[in-house]
This record gives sequence, structure tokens and C-alpha cells, in this order.
Amino acid sequence: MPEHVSGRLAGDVDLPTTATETRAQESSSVFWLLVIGGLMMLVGGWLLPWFVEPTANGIGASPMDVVASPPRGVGSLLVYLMGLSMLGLLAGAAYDAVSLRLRRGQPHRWARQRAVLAAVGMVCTVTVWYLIAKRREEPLFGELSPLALTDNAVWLTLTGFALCCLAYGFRRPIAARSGLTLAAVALVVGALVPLIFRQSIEFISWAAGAAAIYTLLALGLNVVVGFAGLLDLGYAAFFAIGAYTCGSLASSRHGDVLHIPFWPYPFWIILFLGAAVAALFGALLGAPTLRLRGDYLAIVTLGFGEIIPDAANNNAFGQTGGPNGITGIHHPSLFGHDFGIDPRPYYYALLVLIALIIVVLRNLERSRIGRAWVAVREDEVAASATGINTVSTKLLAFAIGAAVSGFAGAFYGAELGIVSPDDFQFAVSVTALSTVVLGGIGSITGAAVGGLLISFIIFWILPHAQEWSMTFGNTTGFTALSSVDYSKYVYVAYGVILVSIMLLRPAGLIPSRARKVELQAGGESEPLAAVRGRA
Amino acid sequence: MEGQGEVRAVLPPLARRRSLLRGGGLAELGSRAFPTVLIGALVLMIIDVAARSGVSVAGSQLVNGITKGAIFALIAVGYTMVYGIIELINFAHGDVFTLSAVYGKEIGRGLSWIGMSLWGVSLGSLATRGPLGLAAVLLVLFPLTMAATGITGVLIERVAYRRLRDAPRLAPLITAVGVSFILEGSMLVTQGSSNVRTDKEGWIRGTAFTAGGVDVHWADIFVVGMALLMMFALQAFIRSTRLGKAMRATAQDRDAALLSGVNINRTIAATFFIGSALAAAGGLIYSIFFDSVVWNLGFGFGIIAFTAAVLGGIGNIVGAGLGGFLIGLIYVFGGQITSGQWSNSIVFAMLIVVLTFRPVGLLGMRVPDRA
Amino acid sequence: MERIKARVLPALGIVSLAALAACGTSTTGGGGGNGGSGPLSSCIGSVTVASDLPTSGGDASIGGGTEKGVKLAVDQANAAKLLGGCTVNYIAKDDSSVAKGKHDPQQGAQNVTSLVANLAVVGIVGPFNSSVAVAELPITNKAGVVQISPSNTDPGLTIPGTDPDIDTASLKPTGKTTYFRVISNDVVQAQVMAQVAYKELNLKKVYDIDDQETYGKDLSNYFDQDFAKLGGTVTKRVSLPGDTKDFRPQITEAQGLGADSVFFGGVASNGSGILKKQMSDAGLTAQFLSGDGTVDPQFFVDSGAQGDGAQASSAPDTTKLASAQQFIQQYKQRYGQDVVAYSTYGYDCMNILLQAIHDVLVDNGAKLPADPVTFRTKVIAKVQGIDYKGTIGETKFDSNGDTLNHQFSVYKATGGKWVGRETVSPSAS
Repeated sequence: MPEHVSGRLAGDVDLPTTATETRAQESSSVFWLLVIGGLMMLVGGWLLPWFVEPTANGIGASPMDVVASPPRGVGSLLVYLMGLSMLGLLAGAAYDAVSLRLRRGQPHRWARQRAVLAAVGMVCTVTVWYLIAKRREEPLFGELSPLALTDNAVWLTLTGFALCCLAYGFRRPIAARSGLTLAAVALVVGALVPLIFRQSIEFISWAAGAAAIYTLLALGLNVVVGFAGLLDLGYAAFFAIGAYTCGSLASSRHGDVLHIPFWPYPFWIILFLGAAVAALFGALLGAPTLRLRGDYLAIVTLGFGEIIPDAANNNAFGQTGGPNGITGIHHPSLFGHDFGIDPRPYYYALLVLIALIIVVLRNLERSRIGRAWVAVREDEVAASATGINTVSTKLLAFAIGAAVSGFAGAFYGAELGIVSPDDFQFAVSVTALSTVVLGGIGSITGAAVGGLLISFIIFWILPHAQEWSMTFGNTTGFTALSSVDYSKYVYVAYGVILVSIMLLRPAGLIPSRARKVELQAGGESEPLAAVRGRA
Repeated sequence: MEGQGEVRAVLPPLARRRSLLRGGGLAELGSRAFPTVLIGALVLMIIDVAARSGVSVAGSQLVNGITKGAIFALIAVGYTMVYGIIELINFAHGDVFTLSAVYGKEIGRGLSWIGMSLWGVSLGSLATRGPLGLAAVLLVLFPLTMAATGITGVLIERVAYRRLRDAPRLAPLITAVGVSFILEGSMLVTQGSSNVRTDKEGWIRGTAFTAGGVDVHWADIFVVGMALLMMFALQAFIRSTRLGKAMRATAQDRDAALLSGVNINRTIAATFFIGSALAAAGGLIYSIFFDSVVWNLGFGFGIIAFTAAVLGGIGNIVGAGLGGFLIGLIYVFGGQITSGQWSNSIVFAMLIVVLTFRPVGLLGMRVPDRA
Repeated sequence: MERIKARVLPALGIVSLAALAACGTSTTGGGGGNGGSGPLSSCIGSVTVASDLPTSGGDASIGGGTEKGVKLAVDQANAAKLLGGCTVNYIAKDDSSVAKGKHDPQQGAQNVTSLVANLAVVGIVGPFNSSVAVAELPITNKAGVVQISPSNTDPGLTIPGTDPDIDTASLKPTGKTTYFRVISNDVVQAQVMAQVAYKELNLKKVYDIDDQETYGKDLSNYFDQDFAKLGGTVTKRVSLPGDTKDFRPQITEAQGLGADSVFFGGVASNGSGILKKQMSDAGLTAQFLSGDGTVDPQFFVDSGAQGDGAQASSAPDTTKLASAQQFIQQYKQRYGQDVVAYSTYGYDCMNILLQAIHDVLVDNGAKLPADPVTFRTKVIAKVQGIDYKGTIGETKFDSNGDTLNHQFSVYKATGGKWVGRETVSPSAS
């Protein structure tokens, strides 16, 4: 553990000794976190279909079927271990490759050996995967078929893990690029996801649902909290406003307003309307906070975050449908293609939207407005003395942040066909805030990564823990693992993850450059005080 | 540095003047308009209830509101102390409150077991035997539970907050959320997902007196009395002890306190200990009053209590107490007027109005800007 | 004229223990081939069923208890070799998320997406909450997978036009019925309770509290309507958040209004027992009334001895049904806890699904249908035609997927237990 953070002395004046030392320590701790995370994914039992013979009628070859089949004992345990070590090596190699470039210094001991081993492991894995697919007469890149459970499981694990490592390793070069490059990279990688994971429709459903929505929320909240430094504890309120606006305009509730008979519902117009209404409310609700500072502002936003879902639940003005919410929200369509319930079109639409928003935010951050935000964040009095209109600057941050969540709300309703008050409670605001802080306050990349990571933990790892453990337990013979009720431990697990990530990376996974400079500046300088909230 | 007041309880005169100056004309107006807005609204609500449902109902609701407020107040004190000293919204504090009720239950079971095996007396039977028995039980149970909860609070600070003291300000906020999840999750695992009884059935029962058709129960008096006792004790502690002075000093300027020889870590740990112990008092009082606890009880309580702390002026102990009682009353009367469904909204709407007029809360001072 | 004596009880005599283990008999399939020596003994392979219920977070108590009932049904079916040589695999999904702290439509949609993509899954028990149902039904309907809900009571989920807030047609993109529910909607239940309260208990002034959730709010709405129609007065209707623990302000108010009864529209985990206890503590003698969400052992955990005297409506006399008794005991034995309000419903849902699968296999000559899509379609048809006698009485479905079992019993809390009174059907009047 980094000694300097522990505040071993009287606690507050001592700073990171040297910047490089800090970075190295941080890097290695996150690296191990990644390794452990990757291992957990693997334990997830994605290797299982390897051992499952298709049943006589061809169905039942799901990982869960293993539950009913006898334990495979030592053999499968060995294969698990093999997979684990391969992944570890691969991760190590990726890490070394990157850190070599970054540090321009000495590579880790055994780096070369690890790289070679990893390459060998990778080749072995792919070969085994190929052979199994061959034996089971399943196409390697064939049509999407739920029966083909050779399943790019191996792919899913290896690619996902490798992507994580690479993304982490290249975070510095990536963060150094312009918004445009960033969006381009995100687009290319993102566009490939449904192809890579074509066999796991659930994964695409996660990506188009939870991941995309929480990434949008993180990006929007980052404008308010990160750029302008206004702590918002009620962000779900704006999310709700966008979702309810779009929901009622795209359902029978107020659908007539914009709907031309025999034409599809104009989702793309409604989308922007929703964002606009959310932005309007953002500015309106932001107004009372203008005179407030620090945590008093936070508590007012928290207040709105409580009032808005309350109003939705109480069917305010007869517009929200009470606890049932608004249902029958029409799915969007584009050029005559109805999105329906297939997650893929949503995924692509959201991908484009997120990329656009990243570009816009990136440019905003570097514009006059962005600088005004920084000025207001660092010292409001000084900012206003230099002629910055602090009122409009702050309101603009609220409005833009709200508009982004309005987009998220529109898609949320369109995908699920329902918006209900339960979806916008305080817990959602807290989750959104966690994504921003975890990713790195003030950094667009950080926010996006935070959104992805948190939604991956909440909507992928935690819900699958039970299945993974059962399959692992059954194949390896540790049947005790199969009977653990994981849903009990979900809260503890999530809490431990949050705490440990924050302890390991207090500035977030990808801190914004400005903040990093502040942290490394040393001495009781003004920016440091700002970071510590003592301005 | 000494003699400048409590943990921001009595404001340093300079700070107060400066905040007025900086706030400008509206703030000046606001600080005068403020009591009118809040108290006026509350009085109007009470009159409305009295007119519609009768004076005795309004009186009973007053009692209900004050007892509810007493528990809010005890939790709010913990929020405000921690905030005052390390400027952290300790989201886990509501769950510490719940945890203390669970501790109270388990410690009570342990004591009962000891009592049964040594003297053949269970805690419950002793407590319901008479005032003396009850006093004896409370004198044992309160210190034990408060100590256990206080130690938990110190542990939380040590593990989750201390090493983030110089991190960006929002980092400990997220660990606080994480700790909150851990505490809730542990109680979910150990206590199950439903309400559990706390074995304090009928410890305090009966009506103390009836005034104007309003029954005031012994339990009501107990709740309010204990809350006031705890808060006065705390106030005295902070005002006059060495540790209390260290806490005030640390709250005002940590670096200067360090330079003048205050052991910051110990002081902050003590703050967490006391804040958690007070939450434990709240938890015990709650479980004696309601005899029921559930794993996520503290979540809703935490938000409301935090609101109370802000309403009173965050960092200010007297303010937190006052805010707690006020919010209890607003909650009860606002709830009755709007058929319950808007109770939460009314509390928060009132808070927004109050903060708009008086941005620093009831007795508060300007807080530093958030980075 | 309103009350009809239950016709459920006489049927009990013929329910044998063996049948109980396999959970009821079917009248539609090719004879009850329970046990290993039945017509399915030559069956080879396994059948996968699933459930999607909120089992963590704020819904853990009630959703988790329901899932335990579902799981018990699967385990018993495997132990009793309901499908002969074939085994039943069970996938349990949790549709609550940490992000919401309770049931989450997003998680639900993701769960059923994965379940329908897994062609081994032939049927799903769930969801628990209406909002999750709205997000899930189009997905399972399109994929042609049967869903049986233990607890959805919103009429709009099945009957078009009954709930202005739900577009029923959008939940059924294929137009076919693939969604069934074993619980009657709240209209009937509220009607029964209102009649009992007004005519039999002679209550005239009710104070109505709901728990701000769909179920509670609807139940209270219907109760208020029916009670007022009969001539009673609803002195006040309040709506409190589900985590309310302090009902004293409302009790004080009810006292002030001179209410002779308090109706609680909500589930036990949202505080019906706490309300009853605080009523007694405060000396409010008004009759406590509630719906099936309250007929739950949790009520007595919260209220203790002070729970006695409360009355609530629920499915016909589940405590008297021998099969339910048996289930309640087995449940307690297995999990060391009491059943929750919906455990019996979850148990019956899964048993109906398994029975339908059993019937399909019998029709198919003890073989698993080769084509999973056909298998799924056949299971839907068998569920539609089922006639199942289980722990909640006899279940048959109409063409919308609603149960035809509209009978309710009124229960009275006596000595820490819910004791069933006579079964009541709503009168036409």
C-alpha cells in the first residue's frame, strides 16, 4: 500500500514523495486489481462449455447444465488453472509492453519470459478453441445461433480481459489525444463489440442497456461535478425528467402531440425535446443553488433528487402514471427499420450518440466556457472579478449536464418500454456519482471508463456470480460453492469493490490532467488547497 | 485558538460578520426572513391540523413530531461532527445507526444469557420489573452498545477515510457510500432481510400524564429526555475537556492544530467515536421505542438526518439538534396535511427554500467551496 | 348471497401424499405419471426452467422467499422424478440491482434476454413486479417463452384498457398469450374485503393507508371504491413510503377522525405488522384490515401478540389446504424460515410449469422434442390448458392468461397465526 496516502504522520501535510514513485505504486496496484478482476471473469465459468457435451437432442448445452452433470474432478481443475495462468501471463505481458513505453525505464523482471509464455498460451487457447469448435461442427464465425455454445466464451474472456489491460495501459496516450481521436477509437472498438460478442446477446443487451445509459449519465454528471465543481447529489432527477418527457411523448399518453398518423413515432425529435426539457429543468433547478456553496449546494440537489421521484410516484399533475410509471413507450425506428426489442440497433445508436457527446464535451471543455468552469471551480470570487458571469456559467453546467442525462432517459424509456419512479431514486444518483469519482473527476475519459466499469460490476459481475460459482463448483468438484446464495452478499461485495478502488486510486482511475498536476505540485500551494477543499 | 467556541457551535464573530458581508444584501434580508419562513410555515401547518382535526390531535402530533425529531437529532449530530472536522458527508452514518440497534439487540441477548445463567434473570424481565430494574439495564446496555458502535466508527475511519484525507474531496465520499453498502450488506446477511425484533418489548410503557386530551407516554419523555441529555453532555464535553478543545481546534484549522501539538489522528478518531456513540444512543432509543430494526433502516433515516444537519447549519452541534426536531415536526405535520405522500417532498422543499434565503442554514457558517 | 362456502376442501381428501410430493395432479396431461416408473421413465436428458425474481436488496425478503418456494418445487420434482428419467435444471435470476437497491427493469430485461437466448430454457417463473413485467413481456413473447408470474396484479398487464397507464398490446408483439399469472387481480380481493368489512364486521368509517407501491396503491384504491359504494365512509386516504416505520402520526389522525377501522394496502414487509402493533400501543381499537400481502408470518414478527384480531383477505384458505400445510412445513424444514406472502404462489407457478412440461413429454412419447422452439410452443399450450390444484387452490387460465381462481378467504389473526375463515366469492351486486 502506498505509504504516503495512509497519512501515517499527523495526517495531512505530507504529500506524495515523488511523482514517479507514486505513479509506479499506483500502477502496480491497479494492475493487480485488473488481474484479479480478470481472474474473476474467468472463474465465471466461461470455459465451461468446453466440457459439456451437447445432449442427445441438441439442447441443454448451457453452462447451467453442468449443474446436473457429475463433477469433472482434477482434470477440469487443471484446465482452469491453465486458463488462469495464461490470462495472468497475458495481462502481465500487456502491462509490461505498455509500461516499458511509458516509463522508458527498466522493464519488470521476467518481462520477456512472460511475454513469450503469454504468446504461447494465447496460441494454445485459440488452438483448443478451434479444435473444439471443429469437433462440435460449429462455425467459428458463423451465424448467430444460441445453440452454438462453444460460444465465444473463450473469446469473451480473453478479449474482454485483454481489452481492459490494453485500455488501461494505453490510458495515458489515449488521454493525451484530442476528443476526436478518442471518439474515433471508441467508435472503432465499440463498433466491433457486437461482432466479437455476437453469440452472447445478453452481453449486447448489457452494453446497450446498463453500460450505455450509465456511461451517458457519467458523462453528463462529469460536466456538473468535474468541470464546474458543483457537487450534485440528485442527478437522477434530470434523468427522470428526460425519461418522463420522452416517455409521455412516445406513448399513448401524449403521443398525439408529435405523432403523424401512419408514421412512426418521431423518436429522434422526441430525443432532443427530452434533452431540451431536461436542460431547461437543469437550469431551473440550478437557479436556487446559485448562491450556495460547497455542501449546501449538494443538499439542495439532493432535495430535488428526492422531490422529483416523489412527484412521479404521486402522479403529479396527472402526468406521470403514479407508481406504475409510463408504459407502452414506442420503440424508435430509423429509415423504416423498427428497433423493436433487439439490443443491437440501440447499441449502435447509443455508440454514435456517446461519441458525439464526447466530442462536444471535449470541445466545450477547451472552449471559453470550459475555462470559465475551471475558474469558477477553483475560485468563484476571483472568477467573477475577472469578468466571468458566474451565474450563467454555473447554470450552463447544470443545463448541459441535464441535457446529457435527458438523452439517457430517452433511450432508457425507449429500450425498456417503461419509465417508473423506482428507476430514479437516490440510489441511482449515488451510483452515477460513483462512476464519475471512480473514473476520475473532471476527466471525460475517466467518466466514460467509470460508467463502463461500474455498470460492468453492477449489471454483469454481481448478477452472474451465482451462476459462475455454481458451474465452477460443479466442474471442479467443490460442490460447496454451488450452494452459496450470492444474492445475499451482493451489497457487501459492491461496497468492498467501491472502497478498495477508491483506496487504491484516490484520484480515480484516469484523473484529469489538471488534477494530476495539482496533486503532484507539492507544497501547500493554492491548487492543492482547492483539491482539499480549503480554498 | 481556544475559547473561540464549540465545533463551530458558537461562531467565531469574525466569520459571522464576514459571511454576512460577503453574502450581500439578500443574505442580510434572508437571515431576518429565515426564521419567519420556517417557523411561520410550521405554525401554519400546526394551525391547519388543529383547525381540521382538533386541538388534541394537533397536540398528539406535536408529541409525535418531537419524538421523531429527537431520533433525527441524535443521528444528525454525528453527521455534523464528522463534517465539521473533516468536511466529509459520512454517508455510512445512517447505517452505523442501524448497526447500533443490532448491536443493542445482540449485546442484550448476551447479557440476558449471562443473567439467566448466573441469577436466572433475563434482561427483559429485569427491565420490565420496575423503574430501578430498567435504570440498571439501561446503565449497562447504553455504555456497552455505545462503546461497541463507537469502536466500529473508529475502525471505519481508520480503514476507509484516513488514508484519503489528502485525496480529492469526493474520494472519501465514495468510500463512505461503499462502507454504507458493506454495513447494510453485513446486516442483510446476519439479520436477514425482514424486520427483526430487538427484544425490548414493553420496557417503557404507560402514560405519564394527559394534558388537554393529549396523552404523553413515558416512552415519549424517555426519548426526548435522553436525546437532550446526550446532546448537552456532548456540548459540555466539547466545551470543557482537553479533547473537546482539540476537536474544535482541528475543525477550525487542522494544520494550525497540528503545529500546536494536537494529535490529529487521535482527535479525528475521537470524533468518529463520539459521533457513532451518539448514533448508538439513537439506535437504542429507537429500538426501545419501536422494538424493531431492519437492515436498510438507516438509509432513509440517514438522508433525513443529514438534511437536519444541513438545516441547522452543518458543522454545528446545536444546529443539528435543532434541525432534527424541526424536521421531525415538519415531517409529521406536512405528512398529515398532504396525506403522507408528500412528507419527504415537503421536508426537502422547505429545506430548499430555507437555504435559498439563508445559504448557511440555521446556525451555520459559510463552508469552504467544494473542489 | 355474497358468500359461498368453499368447494376446495372436499377435494383435499383425494390428494395423496405421493401426489403432494410431486405437487398436485393434472387433469389435462396423459394421466398423472408421477414417480420413476411412469410413462416418462424412458426419458433421457434434461429440461431447463428458470425464474426471474428480485432476491437482493430491498425486495430480498419477499422476492427471496418466493424464489425459495420456486426452488423447492424444482427440488421436489427432481426427487420425485416427475419427468421420469429426465432431470430438471433450474436457473435462478435476480432482477434487482445494486444501482436501484431493488427490482430493476433494466436488469430484468437483460436477464430474460439471456434466458430466451438459451434455447434450453423452456419456461420462466416471474417476474415479481409490474414494472419489470412491462420491460420483460415483449422479449419473452417475441421469443415464445412462457412466463408465469406469482405476484403481478396489475390488471393492465393482461386485459387491454383496464389500466390507462399500460399499453397491453405493446406487451404482446406476437399477439399470442405467453404470459400467465396465478394470482387474481386486486379488484376481486378488494371487493371481498369491502363486503366483509361493511356487511359482516359492520364497519362504517375506514382510514386507509397504502405503501406507495403498485400493489398497495391499487388495492387501496379498489377497496375505497367498493367500501364507498356499499355506503361506508373513507375518512382519509394516506400514502406512505414503503420504508415507513413510524405510523403514530397516522394513528393519531385516525383516532381524531373517529375511524372504526384501518385498512392497510401493502405487503407485510412494508410494515403492516408494525402498524398493527403501534395501533395497539396507542390504544386505537379500530379493526385492522388488509389484503393478501399481509397474510404473512412477518406480520407476527413485527406485531407480536398485538397482531391478534387483524383481518385480511387472501387466496382460499391456504393454511387449511393440506397441500399448503405440507408445503409450509417442508419450506420451514428446508430453509429454517417461515414462508413469505408469495412463497406458495411461486411454488405453484413452478409446479404448473413443470406439470406442463411433463404433459408435453408424455404427449411426445417420453422424448424431449428435438426442436427447442416447438418444445417452448408446446409448453405454452399446455400451460394455457392447465387445471392445477395446488397450494393456492385450483388454477386454470383464461385466454388472456389470467387465473380463473377468483376466490378469496378472509383470515383472522389469532394467537400468532393467520386462521382462515370461510371462502368468499364476490357477489355480482
